This record gives sequence, C-alpha cells and structure tokens, in this order.
Amino acid sequence: MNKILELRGLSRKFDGLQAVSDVDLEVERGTVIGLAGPNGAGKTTLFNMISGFISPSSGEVYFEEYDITGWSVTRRVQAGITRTFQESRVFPGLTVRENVLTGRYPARDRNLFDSLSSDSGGAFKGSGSPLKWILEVTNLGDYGETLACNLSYGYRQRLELAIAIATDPKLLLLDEPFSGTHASDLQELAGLLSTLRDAGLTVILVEHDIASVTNVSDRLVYMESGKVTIPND
Amino acid sequence: MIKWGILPKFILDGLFLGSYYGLLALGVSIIFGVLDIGDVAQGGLFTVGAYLTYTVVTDLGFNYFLAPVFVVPLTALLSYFLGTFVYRKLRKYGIAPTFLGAVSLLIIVQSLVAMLYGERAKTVSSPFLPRMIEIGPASIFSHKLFVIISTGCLAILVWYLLRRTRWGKGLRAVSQNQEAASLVGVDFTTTAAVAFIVAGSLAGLAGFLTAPVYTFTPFTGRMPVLKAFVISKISMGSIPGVLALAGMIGIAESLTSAYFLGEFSNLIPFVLLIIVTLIRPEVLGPEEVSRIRRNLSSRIKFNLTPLKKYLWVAAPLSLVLLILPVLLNLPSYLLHLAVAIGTASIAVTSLDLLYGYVGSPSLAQGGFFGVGAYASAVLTTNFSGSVLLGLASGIVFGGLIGFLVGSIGVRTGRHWTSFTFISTIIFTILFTNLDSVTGGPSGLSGVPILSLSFPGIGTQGFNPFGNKEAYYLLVVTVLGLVLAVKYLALKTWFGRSIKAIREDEGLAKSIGIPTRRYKILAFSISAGIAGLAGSLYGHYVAFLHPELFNFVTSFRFLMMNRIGGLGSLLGPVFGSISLTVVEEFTRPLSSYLAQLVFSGILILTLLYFPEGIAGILRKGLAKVLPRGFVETAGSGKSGDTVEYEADGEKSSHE
Repeated sequence: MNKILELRGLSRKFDGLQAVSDVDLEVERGTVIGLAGPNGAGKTTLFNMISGFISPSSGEVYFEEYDITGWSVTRRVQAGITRTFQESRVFPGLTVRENVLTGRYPARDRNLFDSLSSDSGGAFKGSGSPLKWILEVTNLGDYGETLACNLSYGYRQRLELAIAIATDPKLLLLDEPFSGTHASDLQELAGLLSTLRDAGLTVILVEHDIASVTNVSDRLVYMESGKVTIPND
Repeated sequence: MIKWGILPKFILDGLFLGSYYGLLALGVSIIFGVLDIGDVAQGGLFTVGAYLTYTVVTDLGFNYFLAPVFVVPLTALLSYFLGTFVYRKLRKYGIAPTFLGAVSLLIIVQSLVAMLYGERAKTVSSPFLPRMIEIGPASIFSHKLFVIISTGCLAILVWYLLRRTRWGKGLRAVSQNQEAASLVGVDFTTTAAVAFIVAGSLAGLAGFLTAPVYTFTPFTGRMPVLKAFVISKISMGSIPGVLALAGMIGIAESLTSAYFLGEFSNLIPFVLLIIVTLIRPEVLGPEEVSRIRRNLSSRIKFNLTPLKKYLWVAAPLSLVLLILPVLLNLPSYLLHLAVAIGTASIAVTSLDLLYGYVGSPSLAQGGFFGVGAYASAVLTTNFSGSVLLGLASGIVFGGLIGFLVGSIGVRTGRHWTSFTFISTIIFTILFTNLDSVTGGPSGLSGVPILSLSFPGIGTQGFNPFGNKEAYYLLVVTVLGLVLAVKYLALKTWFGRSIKAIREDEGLAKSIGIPTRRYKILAFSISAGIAGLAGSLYGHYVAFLHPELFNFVTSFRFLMMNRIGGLGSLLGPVFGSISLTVVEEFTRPLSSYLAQLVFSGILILTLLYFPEGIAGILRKGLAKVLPRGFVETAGSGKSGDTVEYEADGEKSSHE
C-alpha cells in the first residue's frame, strides 16, 4: 500500500468558472509533493476537495484505497488527512499549549509519536509527551502559556503547523506554509518537513515560490488554469 | 359541526391578518435585504404607531385620518435613529450581538410606552360606519376591509418605490451585492437610512391601521413582529413573496382558530419556519462570509498554581460565608432575594455554557426553565414530593427537550440566536395552550412542597413559606454543585472542544472536532441545568404561569450573563446579583423601569464593555498581580481585538 492518495478526473466548476479540470494524481506514502502555480491556478480548490471542504463537480478522491469523495471534513481528519489554511488560523483566545492540545483530538487513539521516536533515531528519543516534542520542534517551547492572539505572524504560522502535526496525520496538506518566512526559518521548516517525511508522513504543500518548494519536495507538480501540466519533476 | 357557510368570513378575516403582518414584514424584509439584520424593534414602532393614534384621536380629539401625519414622521425618525446609531455599530460584531440589540430595543420601546401610558389596554374607535359590511356571502368589520385595501395601496407604493425611484434601485442593488453596489456609486449609508425610514413608516402605519380593530397593550406588537420576521425569512426578500406568504399565513391562522385549534393557531408561522429551515437551512440567512470583530480583552489566563495551597483555607471559608445568612438569622426578605439570585445564577450558569464557552448566545433558556418547573410540579404532584424527584425531573425533561431543540438548531448555523428566540415563543405558546398539563393562562397552583428523607434521621421539609432558611440552603447547595460540575466539565475534552468552537468553529472542524455533536451536547446539558433551576424556582414560587417563562425571562438571563461576564464561573452570579438588586430598587418606581434600564445597559455592554463585571474584575486583578501570574490578551501586536472570517470553511477560489 504505497499509494496513499489518488485523484481521478477531479474537477470543480464554480458558476461558469472551471477552477479545476480533470486532475489525475497519484501520491506515494512518505513523500513531500510541491504543488506550485500562479494565482488562480486552482491549487487551493484542489486542497479543498482533498480535505473535504468542497465537493468535486466530478471525479473521485481515494485515500489509502478508500473512496473518500463523499466523506465529511471531520471523518477525513479522523482518517488522517489534515490541512492548514492560507491565513494561518489558530485559536486566538487560547494559549499556545491549549491550541496544540486541542489539535490532539483526533490523535487520541492513534500514535504517530511512538513511531517517530523509534524510527528516526536521534532527535526525539526520550522527549516525553508528544505535546512537548511538538512545541520544541516548531520552536514554540518558550511560548507555551502565551495567548495565541499575542503571537507575531511568524509564530502564528508555526503554531498552525504545530496544531496540524498534533492531529497525528498521515497526509498533511500545507497551504503556503512558507509565505512571509525568513530564510533562516525556511531552513528549519524544511528540516522539520524532512523529519516528518522520514517518519512516514506524506506532505503536499502549495507555494507560489518555486524555489522554496523545490528544495523541500521530492516531487513537483505544476498547476495552471485548473490543470496539472507537469506531473513529474 | 363545521359551519362551512362562514368560511368566506374567515377568509376575509385572514386577509386582514395577512395585511398587517404583511406591512410589518415588508419593512423587516427591506432591512434584512440591505443589512442582514432582523429588526424586531419594528414591533415597538408598531406599538408606538397604535398608541400615538390613540393619543391623537382619543386624547386630542382629532380626526382618525389625521393620525398618520403624526405617526409616520415619528416612527420613521425613530427607526432611522435606531438604525444609524445602534445597529450600524453592532453589525460589526456579528449577527448575534445585533439581534440581541434588536430585542433590547424592542423591550426598551415597549417599556417606555408602558411607562408613559400604563399597561391597561386601550382602544380607538373606528371612524367607519356602518361597522359591518356585507360582501356577498361574507360579512366583515368595515375597518378590517379598510386595512386590507390600505395595505394593497401601500404595497403598490412600496413596489413603485423599489422599482422606479433611485433610492429603491439602490436598495435592490445593495441587497443583491453590497460591494458591487458601492462600486457603481450607491451610497450605502443613504440606502440604509432609506431602508429604516421606509420600514419605520410601514410599521407605524400598521399600528395606526390596526388600532381600532383590537384593544392593545404595550406588548401587543410582539407577536405580529415575530410573525413578520418569520415571513420575511421564508420569502427571502421577494416582495410579492412576502405579501403572498403573509396572506396565506393570515388565512391559515384564521381558519385554524375558527375551526380547529383555537390559540394554537399562533404556532403556525413558527412551526412553518422550523420545517422550512430543516429543508433549506439557507432560509435563515445567506451563507456568505462576513468579517466579525471580536473583543478578546477578557481572555486573561491566570497562572495560579503557586496559590493552590491556599485552597485549603479558601474552601471552608467560602462555605462559612454561604451559610452565614442562616446563622445570622437574616430577615426573610433578604433570604427571599438570595433564593431568587441563587436560582437565577443556576440558570445563567447554564446559559454561560453556551454563550461564554461555545460562543453562541441562546434565548431559549427561559423555555427550558419553564419545562423544568412544570415537569417537576406535575411529577411531584402525582408521585412523591421528594427533592430528588423534583430536581431530577427538571434535569431530565430539560435535557431531553434541549436535545430535540438543539438537534434542529445546529442546522441553523450562524442564525442560531434567532432560532433560539423562536423556540422560546413556541414554548410560550405551548405552555399557554396545553392546559391539561400546565394549567394554561390561569396558571398552575398547588405546587407541592419538597422534602428530603434521610433514612434513620428524619425528613426535612423545604417549605418556601414557613422555612426559607432550608430553601436557601437547598438552593445554595445545588448552585455549588452546578458550579463544581461546570468547572470540572470544562477541563475535559468536552470543555476543550467547545472552547475551540467558540474561538474558531471552522478551524475546530478542520482539525477533526465534531462540532455539531458537541454543540448539541452542550445545548442539552445547558437545557438540563436550566430545567434544574426551573424546578427549584417552581417549588419556591408555588404558582406557575406561562408568562414567567417567556422570552423576557430568557432575555433577563442573557442580560445577567453578559453584564456579569461571559465564560467565567462567578460571572453569572455577579450578573444575577446586580440585576436582582436593581430590580428591587426600581420596582417601587415602575415595574418596567428595570427592564428599560437593563436593556439599555445590555446594548452599552455589547458595544463598549464586552467583558462584563467579571471581566472588569479580572482585568483589575491582572493589573495588581505580578507579571508571572498572568497572561493577558492585548500585550501582543494585534491588540485585544480580532477580526476574522465568520465562516472560514469557504475559502477563496484559487
């Protein structure tokens, strides 16, 4: 079962605008896919269809051999698909710690972090609770008790990522995770994504800047006007 | 036996009802179209129209047909002021605060009218003679016919206004698409002003027209405006739709009340709305994204771990403080107040679960309060007078009905507040009409005295008349238990999830929290606790009456919650204390003064003091404590106000 996600003929039309047309895509487990393309290419709409926020006009979405096209957002998250948003959404009135804890909801029964500690050696041995590990790895360790609304934009982005990781996903859809990030943080983030990938996580990220995406991704998918144009790097 | 011969008469009567519902609904629709606001305050303007007509005709002796000269400018102007100075500001905070503001304004206007004119019913004599007119097989009061015809003319006038004048086109443009309209030069402020002026005029005229038909009180406008609200929602802005639906509902009411159900006919529009909402939830409002501004200044985190050792002192101390009133042998009047505050605190705590933690205010708590009171009264009358049975029946029945109502309510999304409002109206109608169970409008007396048997020791009676101390202790104990349960429940996954829903429901959904399920659960629990409060209250007052559990009661709880402070343990208690105290002081002056004052305070709170008393106290405490103990919103870059998309599931088209 190496193929974690498959899109077949996925299309979406909005009142006369063909946002996504006939996309076929196969994603292997444990890879990082970069989804690049100009504004209006249909990238976020594709994300919305994979994560369940929008239903396709036609086509199917398969996750781990299951046809999830009709599944609700919540069901997909429980199954292991988590997405982030372009606008770095977090829970403003809760502390950083509470934010990440809230993300643990679907993961209560599953255990990625056991495998993370044992498979990737080194970095996480003996790090105790998943919460602590997540905060460390996203560099939020010092901000545990800070209210999320008091964080600067960069830290909010990290928090958003932390919440997403906390849900213990198998497939992570990141919508412009690098936007507004400094070069140094970029390295860190790229490193984090590699670590997660090595532990078995699959990541699809949407970015405008092809350069930052290319370094991190195993494979590049390019979209333009709703169609996938270069399926392989 | 059904007398079919009178059918035409009832149809005509129905058309009359439909006419004035339609006039109100037209105004409400126009405002909905432009601002997406449910302006129930128009019901107050309807009342003003009727009373001003009374003054002009009965007190001043002018000709009836001269009254509109006075009425229309006044109601139009009032409507304009309400729209410009209150609604415009509240809108930015979202649908719920705006709707609450509208209900407050309705209460304020009604209270003012009650204070000015007194609450005895008034009449105006119709200028038309003969009083009855025969039209074919039917006969009808000539004045009613006048109303039907006038409505027709006014409807044509409104149609002309909307289709042919510049303002009307502006109104239609804005209701289609506000942004696009401003791009082509439609001035939103002027358009909104026109909407309010037109609506206010229609409401005032509706009052003027109907004044000679029925006797009226300051509260007569309530029902019609709610029906108008329902009508405009279902017809979703289409003018012919509004009039047609109003007519149909009027006729349906007239026929059912004549042939079948009596007062239950009042339920028709509301049940219809519920059914339509189940089929097409978008009826309650557009799903488009709008930005809400939320004030987070009350989000203060206290890191009190170092102080935990003092808990061992604080707990017994507070227990002593609570028992103090009994030990000191306080006068029974104060104990009475304490019981009232106590039962209200329990009810408001149940509301806080929804308003302060899930984030959606509910106007239905008064109804569940009533369910608990009636259920407990009936069960303890028929079985045993045990305290446990009484309280349990309050919780169980409240919770079950809460589950039912909540399951329907979650489908209404952002319009949940207006839905809960409508549920309360339905509860009131049911309480009034299910005489066999509730005793109907004449009330239910002889509610049993509760008692608790301690095996081996004896039985303690809780006679609210003879033994207020015991009742006070009962209430305080239950309140303490409820607060403890609330505190513990909020620490579980349940608590975490509902807080997440309050902060950002779309985000909560996107990380896998089953928001609907939790909302229904929270609603059911809150209804159960409200039922518990109701049963305590019911056995205390010993006489139950539907008007004790209507939307004003719900609104009082809401005021207590908001003013006391949302999302805190003691906020509900502070709110109950302040409202009860003010009511006691203003009661000698006028029974309506308290309502007036509090509705006004609520609006001010919505606009300027969202954190309430508890929030103000916490802010003060936060300033006093050393920095390490406290984390306040506002120390970061975005200050203490947050703006975000209200329904973030719908992302951009990219």
